[in-house]
Amino acid sequence: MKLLLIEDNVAMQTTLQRSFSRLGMQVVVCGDGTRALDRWRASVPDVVLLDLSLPGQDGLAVLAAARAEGLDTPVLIVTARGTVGDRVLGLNTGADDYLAKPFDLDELEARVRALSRRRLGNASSSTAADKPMFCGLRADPANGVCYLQGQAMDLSSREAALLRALLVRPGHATAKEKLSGLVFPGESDVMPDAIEVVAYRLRKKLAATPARLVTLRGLGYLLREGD
Amino acid sequence: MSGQHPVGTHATSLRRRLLLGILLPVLGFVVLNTASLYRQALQAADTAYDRTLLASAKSIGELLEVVGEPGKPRLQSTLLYSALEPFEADNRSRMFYRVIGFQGEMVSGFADLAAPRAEGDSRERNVYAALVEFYDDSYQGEAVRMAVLMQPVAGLAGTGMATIQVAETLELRRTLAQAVLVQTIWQQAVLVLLVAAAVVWMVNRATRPVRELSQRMTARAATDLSPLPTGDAPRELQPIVEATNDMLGRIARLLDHQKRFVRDASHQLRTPLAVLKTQVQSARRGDVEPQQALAEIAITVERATELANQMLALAKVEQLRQQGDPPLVAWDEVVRNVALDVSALIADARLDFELDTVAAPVRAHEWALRELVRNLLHNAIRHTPSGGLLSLRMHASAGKVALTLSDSGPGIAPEQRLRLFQPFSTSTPDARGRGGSGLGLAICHEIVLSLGGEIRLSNREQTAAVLGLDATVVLPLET
Repeated sequence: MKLLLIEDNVAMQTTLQRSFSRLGMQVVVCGDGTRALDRWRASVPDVVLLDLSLPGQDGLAVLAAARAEGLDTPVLIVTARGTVGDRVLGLNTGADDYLAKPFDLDELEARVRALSRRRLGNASSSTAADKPMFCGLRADPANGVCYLQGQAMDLSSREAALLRALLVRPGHATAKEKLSGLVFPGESDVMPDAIEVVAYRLRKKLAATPARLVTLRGLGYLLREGD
Repeated sequence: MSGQHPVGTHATSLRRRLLLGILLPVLGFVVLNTASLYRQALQAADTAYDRTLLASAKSIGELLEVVGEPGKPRLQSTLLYSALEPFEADNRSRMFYRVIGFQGEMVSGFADLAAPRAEGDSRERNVYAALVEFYDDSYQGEAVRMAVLMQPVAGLAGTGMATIQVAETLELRRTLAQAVLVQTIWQQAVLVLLVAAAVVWMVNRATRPVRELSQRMTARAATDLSPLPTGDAPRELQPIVEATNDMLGRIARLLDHQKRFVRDASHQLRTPLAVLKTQVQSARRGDVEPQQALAEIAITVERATELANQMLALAKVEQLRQQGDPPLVAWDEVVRNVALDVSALIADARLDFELDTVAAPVRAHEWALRELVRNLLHNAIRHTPSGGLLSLRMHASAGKVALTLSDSGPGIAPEQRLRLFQPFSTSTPDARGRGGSGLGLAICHEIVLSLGGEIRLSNREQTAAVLGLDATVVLPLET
């Protein structure tokens, strides 16, 4: 996979080039707005990482020129311009994604990967096996079964549905309205408190594990590692 | 009007207004006055010349006699044309006469002189006896002034009424009229010039302080925000000078505030950089394990990043305020979403959390509401000890909706209260020993102000013990 990195800050350029090279990408760098378009044409990248503040020619101008020329490479804009409207402006100009500086390297890598996957038409999203376990808990998306340390857990379908939903983002709360929809699919006359009953039962079944089912009253539920 | 001040086409010049407002009526009055004076002079001249005309008619009348048999009186004239010569004031005007007898017969003089006009026509009455009429007429195509005198003549044969007509050409009168006109116009012109000069001088003098004031303000250095002297301005200008000084004062305070902000901000930014530098140097010397050093450095970088983001946020509030016309946003939704976003922090701090929202549509940019709630929530989480209480309650009433965040932290110290919403004034170590950016409350305050709401922070106390802090934001509800 080939990445075109248009970024004028040398330190940022070096670091990003190193990181993406380690991920097995071929990285072409360009630090000048006026030469960016030539590099783009010549290198035929799979993803372009574009900084907006460039010497010579502004990043948005580079992007507009490239799109006008018919270059449809996915573009991820990275900029320190944190002002209102920049995001809209960037996406209107033909950018596919936008990330404000300073960013997390992990997030940048994830977004570049997502763009390249889209580019390559390869929608092989991460499978359940890739998902790290949380406190020994893991859900199999294929059959919906939840495992604790590899052993299938004895859960009702509603409890399993709740656990699966919470395992998507352990540590972060999910709104109870959303959980209700996942636990009672297709049922419109669910009592608002019904989810509490399911959560109560699941909490008891998780008591033996390090995972804790936490209630944020009025908001939702989350899983966190117990102490 | 000086060149540096482009004056819009709608702007009116005080000076021009005054000049036009005074000079035009004066000019109009003078024109009317001139016309009136001219008419009066002409009437006076007419009266004077009419008297001469009457005298000539009377002298003709004295030369008339009555002849004929008794009972059949007849008028006879021995008049010679030369009899009128003494009355021809100079050679320019000529006189004509005609005498008509008792039965209307022509007695003497110029037969082709127009007959006296009938009673009731438009001849003009004179101050002289009712038996005399004066009017304008024409003779042989020339304009003349006509006097008609009814003269009773008595003789042996009886008495009768003779009609004597004397006509005089108008050259002399016209010459006089012209002389009067020219003189009047000259006098009035001099009068107008004198008045105009006086008015221009006065208006210029009266408006000079305004021009001087504007010159003084243009001549100032761009950075000079000192107040204008108020002493020498006229009383009418004092309010302007005072308002200007008031505005200058406000600008000076604002600038001062911004300068202080920049100074504080650079100081605040330098602190994590200094820490970072020390951490890097220490790690390079091998004081700590690389992984631990990097973890510590990451925390410092995180703090510097947060600070920079907060400073940008503060600038963004101002930018949004200027954009105006914010959309309709469900504040309760924003509160729930932000709470979900920070749920990990809430869970990590083992807080006893409770959320109670009501439908709260408000006019605001969603970003501003998120930032407001996020900052308040971060503050509350940060200052609440582990296992403490954190509740968010919304309450709507009377077109307003209030969000109250109650925590069980230490509350605010009395010395903090005064500078609560000023940048970098409240940065105190939190429940977990970490300091905030010191900008969170300043951002909240700016956002709430821009939304036309209010923000209050008060300690929740019970018998002198602080139970926690209640942060309440009240925003106008859109209905």
